[in-house]
This record gives sequence, C-alpha cells and structure tokens, in this order.
Amino acid sequence: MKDYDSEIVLLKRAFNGSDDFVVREFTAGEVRMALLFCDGMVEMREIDMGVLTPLIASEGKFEPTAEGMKGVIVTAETLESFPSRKAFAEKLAKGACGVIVEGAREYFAIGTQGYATRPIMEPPTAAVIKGPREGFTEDFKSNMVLIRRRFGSGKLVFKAVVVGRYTRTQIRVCYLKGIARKDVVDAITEKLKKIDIDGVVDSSYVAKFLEERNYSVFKQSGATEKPDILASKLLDGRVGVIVDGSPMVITLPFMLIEDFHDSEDYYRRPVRTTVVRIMRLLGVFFAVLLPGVFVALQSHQYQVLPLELLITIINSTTGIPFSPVLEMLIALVFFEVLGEASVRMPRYFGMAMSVVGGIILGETAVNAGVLSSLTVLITAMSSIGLFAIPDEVGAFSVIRISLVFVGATFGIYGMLLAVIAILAYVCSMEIYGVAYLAPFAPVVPGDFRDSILKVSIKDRTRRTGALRLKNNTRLKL
Amino acid sequence: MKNNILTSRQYGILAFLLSFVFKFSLLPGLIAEVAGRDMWLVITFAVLIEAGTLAVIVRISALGGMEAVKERYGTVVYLVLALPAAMLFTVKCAVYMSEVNTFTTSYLFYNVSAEAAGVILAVAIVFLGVRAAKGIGRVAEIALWLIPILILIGAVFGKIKVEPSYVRPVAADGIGPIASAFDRSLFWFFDYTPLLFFRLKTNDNVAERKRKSSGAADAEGSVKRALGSLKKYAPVIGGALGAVLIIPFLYAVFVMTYGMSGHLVGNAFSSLGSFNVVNTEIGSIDWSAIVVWLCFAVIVLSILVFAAGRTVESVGVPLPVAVTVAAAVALILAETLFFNSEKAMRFALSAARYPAAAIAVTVTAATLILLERRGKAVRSGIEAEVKDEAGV
Amino acid sequence: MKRAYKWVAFALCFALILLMGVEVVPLQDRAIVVGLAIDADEEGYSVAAQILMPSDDDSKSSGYIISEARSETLSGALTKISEQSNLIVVMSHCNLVILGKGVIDRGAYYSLDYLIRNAYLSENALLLAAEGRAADILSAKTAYSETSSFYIQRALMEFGYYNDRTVRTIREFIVSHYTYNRANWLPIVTKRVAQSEENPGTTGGGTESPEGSGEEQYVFDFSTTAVFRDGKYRFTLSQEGTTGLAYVNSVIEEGSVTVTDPETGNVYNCYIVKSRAKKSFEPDSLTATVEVRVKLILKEILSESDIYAPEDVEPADSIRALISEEIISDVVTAFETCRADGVDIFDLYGGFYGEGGASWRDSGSKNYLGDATLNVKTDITFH
Repeated sequence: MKDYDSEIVLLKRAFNGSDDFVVREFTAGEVRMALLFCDGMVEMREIDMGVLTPLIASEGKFEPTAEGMKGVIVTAETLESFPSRKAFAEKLAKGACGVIVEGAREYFAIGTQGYATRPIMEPPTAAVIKGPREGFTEDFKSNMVLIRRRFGSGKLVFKAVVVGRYTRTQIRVCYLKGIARKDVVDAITEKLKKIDIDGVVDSSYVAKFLEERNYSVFKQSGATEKPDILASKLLDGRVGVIVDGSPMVITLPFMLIEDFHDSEDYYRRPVRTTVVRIMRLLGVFFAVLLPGVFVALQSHQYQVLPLELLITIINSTTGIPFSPVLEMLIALVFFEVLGEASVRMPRYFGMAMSVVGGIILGETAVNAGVLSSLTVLITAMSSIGLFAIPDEVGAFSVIRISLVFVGATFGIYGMLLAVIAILAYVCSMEIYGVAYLAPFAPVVPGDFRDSILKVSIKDRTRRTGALRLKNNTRLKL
Repeated sequence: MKNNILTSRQYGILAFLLSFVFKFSLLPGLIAEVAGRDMWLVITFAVLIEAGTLAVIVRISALGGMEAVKERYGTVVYLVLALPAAMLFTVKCAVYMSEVNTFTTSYLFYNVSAEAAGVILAVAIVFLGVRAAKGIGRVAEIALWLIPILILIGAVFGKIKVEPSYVRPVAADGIGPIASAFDRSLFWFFDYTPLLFFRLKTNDNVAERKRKSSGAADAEGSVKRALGSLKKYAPVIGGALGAVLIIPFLYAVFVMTYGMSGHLVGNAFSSLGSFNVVNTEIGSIDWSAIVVWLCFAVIVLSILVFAAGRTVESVGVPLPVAVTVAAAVALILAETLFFNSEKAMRFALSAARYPAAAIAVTVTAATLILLERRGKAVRSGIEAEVKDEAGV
Repeated sequence: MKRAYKWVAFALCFALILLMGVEVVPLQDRAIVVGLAIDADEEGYSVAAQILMPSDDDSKSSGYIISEARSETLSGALTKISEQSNLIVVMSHCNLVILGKGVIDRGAYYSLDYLIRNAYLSENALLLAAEGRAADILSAKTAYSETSSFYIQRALMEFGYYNDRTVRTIREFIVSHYTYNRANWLPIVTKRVAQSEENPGTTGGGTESPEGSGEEQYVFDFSTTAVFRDGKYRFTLSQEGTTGLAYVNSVIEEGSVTVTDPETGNVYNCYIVKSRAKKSFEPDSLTATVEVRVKLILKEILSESDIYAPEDVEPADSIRALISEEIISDVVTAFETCRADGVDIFDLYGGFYGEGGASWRDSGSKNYLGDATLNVKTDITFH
C-alpha cells in the first residue's frame, strides 16, 4: 500500500473517474482517513452511524489494523482487510464501504450493502395454490438466507466461487454434507473455477458451462425459483448453484422426469398428483407427436385412420391449396410467432392480440380455405400440450417440427425411426453420472414411487436411487 | 472396453427380443410350408436349444466374455473367433433388413423405394448401435412398455377367434417334417450369439471376479451359490423363459388362427395383431402390432451391427466407424443381393444356413472351452471392470 | 472434428434420401374403396368398386360412386378403375368383397389370389356371394343408408352374429380352403325392393322410400348360403341349413327362435342372448357330437286372444323341447344337405384326425363322411 494521497488517486483511477465512485475524506483527531463507496450501493445511515461516527469519535487513537478497526467499528456486519488494491476495489464495486487510514498497510472494507433489490415475492413461473410462495431474487445473499432458514443443521454448506473477469459474479455451490456425492460437488466446483469469461449476468451462462452438450435441444440442468423446491432437491442429494444477479438457481444432476414434477405435486394428495402427471405425459405426447402423426397419416399411412375420421379429413382438406406438411408448418409457425409475440407484448395489448391471433386469424384462415379446421385443431392441441411441461417447451417445440418433416417424408415409419433415434440419444445422456431418463431407462424400481406415479410422503423412504447416493435413507419407519 | 455392459434386466430384455422378433415375421409361414400344424413343435424345439446356448453365453460373460479370450490367448485367437461372428451378424442383419424393408414398402407405403426405406433404416440402426450397450439396453427397456399397450388395445378392441382343434393331431407324421422344418429354418435360430459381445453387470466385487476368472475351486456351498446366482440372473432367466413360453404359444395361436393356410402369411405378428378386427370405428388396430414389431426389429438390428462392430473395436477400430461399416455392408447386401424378401429367403433357406448355424455354435462353444480352461492367470483390468460397471 | 464427421454423414444420408425420393399421394388423389364387387365371364373380370367421394364441407358425410372396369385379371381391372377415375385405388378401407355368380362358377378361391396377396386389403374383410351380378348388389340404393357396403357390414357384424345368416371373412375362407375336404361356404346376398307395409327390424324389412325419390330402394337378404368344395360352387343351402351352419360355426349374439306350441297354438318368440357350439369326436365309431348351448330370453308369447310380454315366465319343458328340436333340425339339415354332395361342412375330418391321429388317417378315413354319424344335442337355458 502506497502513501495516503497516492492511494486516493490510484483508487479513483481504478474506477476510471466514474461519477458514482465517492471519496469522502475526513480526519479523526490528526489521522487522515477516507471513506470510499459506490453511490447507491451502500446504506448511508449505516455508514454515518456505524462507521463515520465511531471513527471520528476514536480521534485516530487505534491501531490501523483489522483488529484495531474491529475495536472501533463494532456494529459492522463484516469487516475485512485487503492487502491488494485490486481485491479492495472489487469489494467496493460490490457495495462495501471502504476505509483508508493514513499509515495503515491494508485497506479495510465494511459490509454496508444497501442497494435496492426486488422484494421476495411469488415467482411468476411457479405459481401455486398450496405451498410456500417465496421466490428467489437477484441478490445471492438473500437467496442464501432463504435456503439457510430451511435447514436447522450445519450440514448445509455453501462453497464460494467468483466468476467473470469484469462482473466478478459471486456464485455459491450449496449442498448437504453427508448426502450429496462428493465427486459431483467437486466436479461442479472444478468446472466453475475453470470458467474464464468476461462476465456472467445470469445463471443460464453458468449452466452452459456445467452442461456437456451445449447444442443439444435437451436441457441438462434443472432450475428453480423456489427455495422450498431447492431445499427438497438438496435433501434428495442434488447440488444447487446460486448465481448472484439471477433468481434462477441451478440444480444438478438433472433428470428429465424432474420437469414433469411441479412444486405443488408435493403438497397435493398423491392420487391427484398421479393423475395430473399422467395428464402431463399425455400432453407431451400430444405436443410432440400429434402434428407429425397427423401429417404422416394423411400423406402415407391413411389406412390407420377409422373410415369416418378419414372422410372428415378428406372433406376438410378438399380445396386447401397446400400440402398437408406445408399446411401444418404454416399453422405451427403461426402459433410459435403468436406465442413469442404474446410474451413480449405489453399487457394492454396482450388480450386484444390473443383474440386477434387465436380466434379471428385461426377462424379466418379456415374460412378462407388456407388451412383446414382439423389442422388448426391439431396445432392448438399440440401447442397447449407443450405447456404442460413449461420447462421443456423449447426442446419439444423443436422436436415436433422436426417430426412433422419426418412424418411428411417417411410417414409413421420414419417417425418411428426418428423417435427411436431421439430415445437413443436421450437414453445415452448422463448428467454427472446420472442417467437422464432414469427411472425408466435404466429401470430403477424404487424411483417409480415418485416418477409419473406419486406415492404418499410416508412411503417415500429412500432418496432417488438413480443418484447413487451413499446415504439413501430419507425416512425411517 | 466399457461400452458393452448391460444390467441383468437389460440383458434379459435383449435376449427376449433377439429370440422373438425375427421368428415372428416371415418364419412362421416358412415353417408352416413344411411342418404344417406342427410348426409350434418346431419352434419349441428351437427355442429350447437356444435357451441352452443362452446359458452358455451367460456363463461366458461371467468368465469375462470375449475380452477375456483376447487377453488370455491374444488378438489372433480372438479374431479367429470374432471375425466369422462379425460376418454372420452382418449377413443376418442384411437378411433381416430385407424382411423389414419388404414389409415396410409393401404394407406401409403406396410407393416408396426399397432403397430409401433401407437407407433410413440403416441410419437409425447405426445411430442406435453407436450408442453401444448402454443406449441399446435403455431403449429396449423403454420399448418394452409397448407390449402392455399392445395387449391392452387387443383386449379392449380385439376379438378372439381361434380354433384349438387345428393344432391336433400333434406330430401325426412323426418327427420327419418337424426335423425337416427345423433344418430348413436354421438361419433364424441361434440368435443369442451377439450377446457374446456384451457383458452382464454382475455386481461381483473384485475378489469374486478374480476367483471366477482364475477358475479356482469354490469353497462356498453350491446350493447357496446357485440361489445367489438365481437372484442375480433372474431377469435373464425371465427373458429366456419368456422366449421359451411366448414364442411357441404364439405359434400355436397362429396355427389355431390359420390352420393349414399359414404359409400364405407375410408377417405373422402384424396379422395376428389385427385381433380379427375389421377397420371400422377405431381404425385398423394392427398398427399397434406393426409399431411394436418395427421398434423391436430396429433394436435387434442395432444389436447385430453393434456386435459386429464390437468385434473389431477390440482391435482398435473406433466403434462408430465399425458399426457404420457393418450397417453399410448389410444395407448394400440387402439392396443388391437381397433386393426383396423372396431373394433373402432363398438365400437363408439355401445351404448358407449351415455355415451360419455352425459359426454361431462353434464360436460359442470354442469361447466357453477356452475360458473354462483352468490354471490360467487371473485376468487384468478387473478393478477397471468393477469401476465401469458402477457407471451402468 | 468428431462433430464434423457426424454432420457430414448426416448430410450424405439426407442427400441420398432426397435423391431417392418418396412419392406422396395426397388423400384427395386416392380413391378410397369401401366395397368391391367382382364378376367374371369368359372374357375376364369385371370389377365394380364403391368409392367414397368427398363433400365440400367439414362434415362426416360423403357420397359415393360406383366405378366399373373390365380386364382379364383382377389387378388389371383395378388399375383401369384408377385410370378411369384419375385416382389411385386403395383397398385399405375395403371391408366388403362380393363375388358374383360368374366368379363363383369359375372358382372363388382362384379369383381371390390377388386379393389375398394385396397387403392393403385386410384379411378380416367380409366375403359374400351374389346370386347374380355382384355389381348390382353394390350399386343398389339401400332403404336405410346410402352406402350399400356399410349397410351390409352393419347387417352382418355390427352387433354380433345373427343366427339366421352366416358370416365369412377372407381369412376364414382361405383357412377352410386348406382343410382336408376343402369344404367352404359364403353367405349369399340378395336384394329386394323395400316394401312400405313391412315393419322395420324384421329380417329383410325396410321403411317406405322417401317421397319423390324416384329411385327404388332395396333391402338385403342373407338367408341362404353358397356351399363350395375345393373352391368350386356346389349348391345353395336353404334358410334352415344356413341357420344350422350359423349355430355350429359362429358365436351367436343376435337373433331369435320362434316356435309354435301345437297343443295351444301359442307362438313363442325367444331372443338369443348367446349361442355357441362345442364339437367332440369319436374316431373309432365315426361319431361326431355337436352340443349347441343356447341362452335365451323369452320375449313374446302370441296367443289367439292377446299379445303380452311375459315377466319371469319360464317356458314349459315342452317349449324347450320344441326349441331344441328346431335347432337340431336346422343343424342336421345343414349337415345332411352338404353330406349328400360330399361336402364336409363341419370339418369332421379335422375332428376325427385330431382325435385319432395318423392311425385313424391311415386306416379308417376313406369314406368317413358317408359313414359318420352326427349327434346334435342342445343345452337351453333361459335368462
């Protein structure tokens, strides 16, 4: 650390003359000191009452070391000393209040973060009728608190990693010691440490580094906005990755069946949950297969259709100028565009556009003879089925369009081969040693209790077997 | 080395599929031509013999499989056994592909060329074969769910119309036609041979494996060991038992349905899968049987190309390349020499069936003999094996 | 690098598939055949196909046309139909095939060879014979429904088999052709003009034709059966014989039995809930026993004074005996009529051979049909 005046200049230079970087010099007794902070990032009242006042009152009569500072600033939440200017500047950039004391050899940073954050509220993507409604926010510390509150033991561990050359994003890997597999935790931590990127602004950036197949349509990591869900996943032996600036917490390892589960499944009656999950599965089948099958049956394997349905299809498609595949693609693309527009549309226009898009355009297209009513119906059913599993909309949407092409070209035969190929691809995926399609492939009998079926919590005595945990017992009878 | 491990459940399912699928398309018609109503006896005899070979193959797997042969006796001895097996698998794949292509082009499409149908089939089986044992086994586990769906559709919508008296009298003309039909159909038997190139996950620990591979005498009681083995191999036994019971049963149902006209049937599974229902309110319900059969056929074909590829993977050829070459050769054969199933059948019924059966039997028997020889050193890599199996 | 190989391989396959091509025929360019009528003469075959025609709205209804063509072969005639209609003829929904007199005389099985090998035509499709031209049956406008094919299918199979008619599918016909005696049969379909004074629901009845239609409407009758041996037509079985044949070879779930008590003059009408027959054989004595188990519901007793529906009335033993006699008579009629022409309609050979095995076949089978005795028993229960 250089002399006091030089340090002030160097620190100002470190922040490149940014207007929000405040340097407030003062003297305590005869000792010169300076407060440094980023405007808007700190709690000013805390600085005034907890830092400035005690320092002035001390009149500089204390050792300019960390222990000395702690003796003066007793109400600080955290007080750290830094020998390195770079680390000190990073801390200031994260909302700490820095103190430079003339004659000291270290920089001192006091935890006075007071930036505005979104309040804890129900996440829009995971609304429930029963169950907790808290959701994660963009502040990782709040998120850590939300998790910590749910565990009354010291087994919950947070491991810190900082990623991003410019953003210096704080990441916390959380797991339950004694339950989560050490090799998985280590593998995740190692991968995080190896990330050398200029900045991370969302957990999805991090997720890409934790996944192996970046170009796969299938996601390879889970994500949740709800602390209760994360807590249950941690109890099940998974690892959570909290990324500062993102309300989505990544969970690993991930299995496809997790996306068929909803937070409310665990708060409802088991029978109702089983029925709902079966509906979701049917929804996925409709979503992915229906358009392709419809095109395939029209183009090639019409003999499968019952005669009355065949008559209806022939009647409804007579006079349509497009081939079945083109018709279906037009309808699917139209629905995709409508979906995208609905998401980005201002709320005030949303209702009107829904009416225009869904009802008027759909009906008008049929009346104009551009699309057949059956095609519109099939597309609508498929699109609704997609949202039975909102987290997999992306993957299933791409697959269904691909299957339309396959069905048009090679009919049901081609679709069957394509489905087998997709299954082969998905079956061979493993996320940190856990089979992606467990418990169906490979069959893990005990895990069927919470797959599509849902048994009572009293009957779920073991954790997820596919994770191959050493500590597998969750409930002792 | 680690891409050929199957759990016992997967092993059992693949064993069942290998035995079942292509015995239930063209073969019933061919057997009916010679054996008539006794065709179910022919197939019973065949599946019992096959079950015996499966027991031998599982034993070979417990002793380390074909890798153990390579390790103990060297690459040359290994290739002497493995290369004929690879050829057999490729030719069988070609004949079976021809069956699938003919069925597909004649029943599923108005006018698609056999070449196009063959190419997409080959692409699919390569894609699955390249996923190795893990992918094939897991896909088979999922595909098995189709069977209850098929049975449910048949139970709900189908009609039973069989005449049990068609099966009688049994073996009225003696063993002659039965033996003749068995001899004629040799090409379609000994279907478990590809499992030589898979390994069964045994969950044995290192010490147990070392003991088994060295052939050391066992201190444990044989009954206790047998019971332990029974539990461990239960799915495999189940798969074999399924084949032994279900295939003759379905052949008997075939006879009860078609009497002495069975030789006219092109694809027995889809014919029986129509469950005597005319296409009215619910459409033709044989599509479910067709989907099931095609799905299983793709899995069996991928097993064959994987096994063929695996033989040379052990000597350094990358698996994707080996599998692709095997499938390409099978495809070329299927689309040139076996352009339609008639030609393929003529080949399979010709004298070529004898070397096919001989290779299957000889390779299996020779492998067992070589591995059972006592006094050989414990094979290396056992710790790695245990680690590999933990990942399955 | 590995990914590059995969994409190259994928692109190659894609190009190969595109080059080979797959022909897609739109549904509108297909002629969906729902019924086929085959007639034959010296010059070849005349085939009439009932083809569905689409309508312009999204309804489930459709019209149909009958398209006829002649050729030396069956497949040639179907090809000509395609050419005439500019549509590709497809047989996947053809559930009805009617063979005309000419085809039957020529040899029914021989004519079916193409249909058997056609993968699209279901072997569960119904097969019937016509007394005259099959095309006349197919093109007849029915009193109940516009499409004759659907009418006939419904009449034969919709709610189960009736006792007064036989039903044959292509598969059953082929299977019977490969029995020892090659005995076979097909229901004969005849048409008659619907009469307005007849009550709907009786056999062959119909409603009055719509006013102003100007076109005759028909109902179909299935009360007789054409009997074959070795693929060749032999004779026509009467209504009684047809009923007897139905009792033995079908599981009956529709129909009725009507008997008259000679003492009281009352007419008893019983509805058949279920009827099935069980055959047993004694090869040594060449005795075949058919036991017909019938479950009935007494529906109506018609007396001279009144008509009333009985409640919990168990008919007297004498009525049971009359019903039993009626059923036995029908079965024996069928058997004896066929036996007289050397037709083993109940496949006694199969039964004796099944019981007696090769020893019976080699020693005692020469004149089994002439020497065989058929015992018919009944087991009648009232629901």
